[in-house]
Amino acid sequence: MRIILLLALLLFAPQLVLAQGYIDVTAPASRKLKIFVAPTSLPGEAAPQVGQELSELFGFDLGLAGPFEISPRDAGMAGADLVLKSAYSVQGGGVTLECRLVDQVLNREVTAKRYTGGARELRRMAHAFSDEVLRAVTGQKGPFTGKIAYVTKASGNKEVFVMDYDGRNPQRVTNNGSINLKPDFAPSGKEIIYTSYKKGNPDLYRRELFTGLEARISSRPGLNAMGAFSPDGSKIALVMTKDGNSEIYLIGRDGKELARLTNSHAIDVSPAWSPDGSRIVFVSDRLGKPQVFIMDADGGNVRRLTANGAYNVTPRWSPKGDRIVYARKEGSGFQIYAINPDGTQDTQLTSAGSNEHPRFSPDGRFVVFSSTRSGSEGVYLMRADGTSQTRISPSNGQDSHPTWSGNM
Amino acid sequence: MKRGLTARYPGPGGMFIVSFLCHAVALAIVANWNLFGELKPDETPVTYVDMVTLPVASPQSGTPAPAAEKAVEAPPQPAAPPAPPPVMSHPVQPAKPAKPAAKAPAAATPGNAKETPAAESNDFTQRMAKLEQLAQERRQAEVLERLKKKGTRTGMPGAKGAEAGSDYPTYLQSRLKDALKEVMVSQTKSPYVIATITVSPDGRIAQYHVEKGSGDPLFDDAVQRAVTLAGKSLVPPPGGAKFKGMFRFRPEGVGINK
Repeated sequence: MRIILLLALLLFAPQLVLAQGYIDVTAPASRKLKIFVAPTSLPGEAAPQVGQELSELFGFDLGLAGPFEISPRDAGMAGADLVLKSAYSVQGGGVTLECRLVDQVLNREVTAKRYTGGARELRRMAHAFSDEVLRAVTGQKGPFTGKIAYVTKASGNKEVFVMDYDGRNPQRVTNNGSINLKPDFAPSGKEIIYTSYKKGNPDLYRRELFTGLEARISSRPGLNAMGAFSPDGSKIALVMTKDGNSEIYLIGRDGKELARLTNSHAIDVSPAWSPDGSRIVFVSDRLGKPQVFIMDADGGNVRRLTANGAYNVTPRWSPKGDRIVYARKEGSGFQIYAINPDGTQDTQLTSAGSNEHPRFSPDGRFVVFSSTRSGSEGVYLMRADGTSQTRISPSNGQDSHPTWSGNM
Repeated sequence: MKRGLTARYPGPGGMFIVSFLCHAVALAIVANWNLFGELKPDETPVTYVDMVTLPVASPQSGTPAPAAEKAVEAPPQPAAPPAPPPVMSHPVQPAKPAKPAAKAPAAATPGNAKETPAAESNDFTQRMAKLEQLAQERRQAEVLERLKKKGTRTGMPGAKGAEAGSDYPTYLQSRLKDALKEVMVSQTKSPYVIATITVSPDGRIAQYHVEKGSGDPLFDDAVQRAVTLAGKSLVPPPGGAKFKGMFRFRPEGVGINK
């Protein structure tokens, strides 16, 4: 009887059509996600310029990021995959900004944040939400709340300044009327090291950005320059000439010498760490002309990286470790190239004007560099594939040697 | 159980009835699971006779378009003689009676001036009709050739996937392809997603389950958007059944890195 019941159950059970194996679904090349930045709504006190500023800021950040195409204001939400909605309220000197990212196709809220702070922090709040949008959509946070340190001659001398990544809000770091060069951020983004001639000799200084406290950490005879923090922030690779010619050394945060990494008759300069701290890329003319080399972090296992070009300088490792950017001399100027750490896929990224000092953004999406393409030297940024090259220098002075901090 | 059956032996007639019931149930299950395809009563062998009338350059397999529905229902009407196809309605036949007249006019000069243009027009019409027919035959041959090359089974334009002989997996694949084209976005070189999709008997996506994600959030979300978009206009699976299939989504022309 049970068997008959079982058979009857199977007989009258809902039918199920099963497809065997995979069914392939393919589509042509990738497009961009259409995102519509909705006009900012304003509960409470009116400040219309704020809404306009926010819309422009979101449009700039996300348009530059790469995966997005900003839908024009006239088009409205129709056809957009994502909609960014924002609202703010002003109470006295404080501002509350609330932002939401909505997926129109899936009909769900992707992410939402509320920021509260002073009115001067409004742009920073908006950049923070741009970072959040990238995190929610691509899985990796954006670099828009990071700062860019650079050297400028706007005041007549070479001074170190810090600005927002989009060139807004420039702030002076040094004001000594001397020559200040080659800034580099600590991984925390709260400290900076740079070389200054303010006491006559090119010495290395470490400065806390928020307190302004400063220490001279290397003042050995000769050059103390091109300092580069290790990824954990505990060590600094530095070029010194105290032993005759320029060599690369390792020092602690306090300036104590830990090791000498190179020991050759040639000039060894421009050290930069791999993201895991196991290797250092640098420039040496030990084979006659300046070329890019890689060595282990203890100075061993040196091998040549660049095989093309007669003059390759200022290498920097990407945060993911998959690419190294550097500048190659071509004619009377330089162009920026990117290469894999194994020496393959050597690709030119710039072609207009002379372009130098490339540095990756902390997420590896962008490269910031200095260029003379518009006459005076200025700071530019581009995507890591060389697209969307944009000038961000806040002044028409000579801006150079940019470096991008981690998010602060 | 065995002893119980032995104790209540129903006799030869009862045994016959029990045996008959068991066999009937077993047969019904086998036929229902399509273990013997030919036993399924509502399916006919897949034929391609409708394919020769493909009207578009790039047919979308199984597009449930209203116009296509009319085209499917249309065939009984052309069978009626009063409405012949436009090509056949050209005055090809009436041109023949003009031939005898064409011989006579060699002597009869008055009518010559009027009849010669008419004959030329008829010839031209005939040639055009032939050319059109040739072109149509060539198009049909090309379509058949493409179908042969493409594979053994494919969806039909205008089909709903519910007709006898139609292919629901191919229909669904076509709908998903169209949707993925609309929302395709990725940030890695060769992402792919393997997902199980269940379509309920009323044509809704009952379940979308990712078996293997691509590791590329942009592409994973794009696939989910494609499934959502495709699910808005699906026709129910044939026979009032659920459909469950495993799909692999990937960019076109990109290999799979396993």
